[in-house]
Amino acid sequence: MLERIVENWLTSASERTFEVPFTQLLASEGHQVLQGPVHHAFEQGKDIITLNDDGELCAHQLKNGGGQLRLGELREHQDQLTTLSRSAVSIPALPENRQPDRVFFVTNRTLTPPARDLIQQLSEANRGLDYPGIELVEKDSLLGRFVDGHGDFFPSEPEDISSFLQLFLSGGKGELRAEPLLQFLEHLLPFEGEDVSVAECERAAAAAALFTAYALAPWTRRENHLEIARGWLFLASQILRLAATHDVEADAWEDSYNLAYQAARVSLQDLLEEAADREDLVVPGITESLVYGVRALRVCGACAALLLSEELAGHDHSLRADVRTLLNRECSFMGTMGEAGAPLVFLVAWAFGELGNYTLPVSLISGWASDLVRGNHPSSEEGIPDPYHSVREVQLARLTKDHTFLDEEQFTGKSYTFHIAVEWLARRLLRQTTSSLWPGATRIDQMEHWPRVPDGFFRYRDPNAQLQMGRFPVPTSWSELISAANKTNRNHIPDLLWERPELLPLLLLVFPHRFTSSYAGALDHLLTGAGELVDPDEIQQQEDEEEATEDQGE
Amino acid sequence: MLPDYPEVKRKAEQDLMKWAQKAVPKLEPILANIGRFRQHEGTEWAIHYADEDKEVRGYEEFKSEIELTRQEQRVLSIHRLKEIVATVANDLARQQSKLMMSRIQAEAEDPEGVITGITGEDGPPTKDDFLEAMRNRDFTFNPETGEPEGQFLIVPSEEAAMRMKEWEDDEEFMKERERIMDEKRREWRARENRRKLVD
Repeated sequence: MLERIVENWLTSASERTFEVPFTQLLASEGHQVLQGPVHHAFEQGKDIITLNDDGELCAHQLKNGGGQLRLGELREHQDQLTTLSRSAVSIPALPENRQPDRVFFVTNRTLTPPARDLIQQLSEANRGLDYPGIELVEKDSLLGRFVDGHGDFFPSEPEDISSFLQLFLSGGKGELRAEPLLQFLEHLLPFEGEDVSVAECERAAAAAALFTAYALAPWTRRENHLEIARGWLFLASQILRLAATHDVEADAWEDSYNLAYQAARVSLQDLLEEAADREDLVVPGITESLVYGVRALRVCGACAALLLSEELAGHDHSLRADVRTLLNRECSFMGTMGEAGAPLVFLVAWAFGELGNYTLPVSLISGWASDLVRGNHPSSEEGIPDPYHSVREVQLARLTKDHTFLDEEQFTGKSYTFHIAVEWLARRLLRQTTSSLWPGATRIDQMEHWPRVPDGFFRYRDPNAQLQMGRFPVPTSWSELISAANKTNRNHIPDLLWERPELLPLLLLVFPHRFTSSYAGALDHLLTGAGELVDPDEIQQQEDEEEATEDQGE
Repeated sequence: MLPDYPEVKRKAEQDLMKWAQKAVPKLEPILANIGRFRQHEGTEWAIHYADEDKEVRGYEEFKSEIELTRQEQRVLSIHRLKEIVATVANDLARQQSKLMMSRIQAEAEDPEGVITGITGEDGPPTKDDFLEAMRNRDFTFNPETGEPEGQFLIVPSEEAAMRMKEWEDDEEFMKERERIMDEKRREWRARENRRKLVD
């Protein structure tokens, strides 16, 4: 069955969608990946560059499509093949430019005999001039390598196969739901057990990357870039969870993590390019107006997350113009549906700040806070749902007449993100704006789930989490509010994320319920310098030592 | 295996259980005043107080059983099923109410508790005991109607309830009660005026 799934996926995979899993395959086969799969301006026909186990520099060119690859079509790529094999590799990872030792033409198709002859002739010509021959990798050999690449990691339980197939057979137009993908990854990755070896973690992470690629096939075919990105971010989060659970060294999982992160990044870049290029974000339909606001928020939020992530990673600023175009055009149409949308509002606010607009962010955050203090006031009839209900779930519940969670749960009198908005305003010393939220602010319970750090943080639902509740005191001291807002407990964020700050904005696209006071404080500090990061354990230790010293002195 | 209709049964069971859950506050009105929420992760919760104190708590489990004979399972109508599920609702309501009363009792006996217990020196509480208890606690009021809200009086018996009803015929008692309520309204307004940002 695995072979049929892989063949089905392989046949329809484009180059873009094929790059990541093929790179993962090479990594599993012992290659060190030097470049790929993010596209670079001067590729010289080389999509993926690696060093194999024998230290040979390998250059791969990918050409995917449907049906057989015939001579006529191959001739159109002949120049690229020549460039592939006869030009030096020039990338930052190499100390100096050098010729590749081996060159591969990789395709998901089968070549006709005349096309194969052409490759043969080009190879012979190359060898005659002391250039490497062109090694052909076609569909059948690819299929075998992918199947072997999974090793023992194929779901055997019916529920896991069902979760996987549920994804694989989806239409790809709608939202990628977290539950089936995470359930599948939960059983594929070795979270349970104490004696999990480094090698097992490495193989499992690699297999998970391949399966994620297959599972995302429907969204990939539709070029549903946001959902593709979310799929890869789910994988990235679960790889970090694996690392945190077993405290595994980075060598075992970092290749797979980096591939997932890069794949998400590329997909978000595609989303930005598509969204910025259009006049609007309409997907025509008679009921389009019911969903447009939410789509605008999700697209703007995702592109804002990309911009902020690139900033934190120290990448270049080439995205700014497109992000500015998109946000300026769509910001006024953004509509939230539940607190699951709150992180996106904040991401857009921070992005506007990065782009030099300092008034819109205040308007966005104070608007969100006002909506909450009104909507979730204890006397309100229907509160704004908490972030544990996806935007899609909230939309459906509001439309249907069936009993839904809206009947069963009470949202008034409490909020998961109101205090985050207040702290954001306090860090900017916006007293007047904040005052307008009182006295309603004192009637709303502030809620947060604190997962067990580090491994629980990356669980979609942590059974060891503790719910925190509190209220603003009456009266509320502005100076104390500022003081508290400017201190972010760094221990609430796992070290794995501090080491990869570029993931912080992106993770909110898949884990909106992890957007807590500390998470927002961390992002605010990293992006704008606001506030400070504190380690209460360290502070407590210092205080204990000072006390002990004083006691000794006495 | 015999053919079955799991989807239909699952939907019906879900609807019946939701109906039972909704019925609970109606069966024990005291529970209707209690806010509800779903905790999505973990089984512990913590309250952070203004004085930076923190209290961690868990949850109590409530359960109730239904027994149906094989014969009943052959013939029960949806109407009859609802009646049976109503017994579950009653049972759950009773359990929750009992727990709530025990918590109220404990809080009332705590000198620093937020619940006021009204007790008499030698026997049942008198009118003076009642008025004194009113003087010693805070009230909240509906800003539009001015009526007290968010509080309720729990009496131990029908007899006690009837005795308290007779107090309403006492003009002096009612005057003093109204005077205390006016004072409490002023205190409440003063508290509400403090719901602001200060330096």
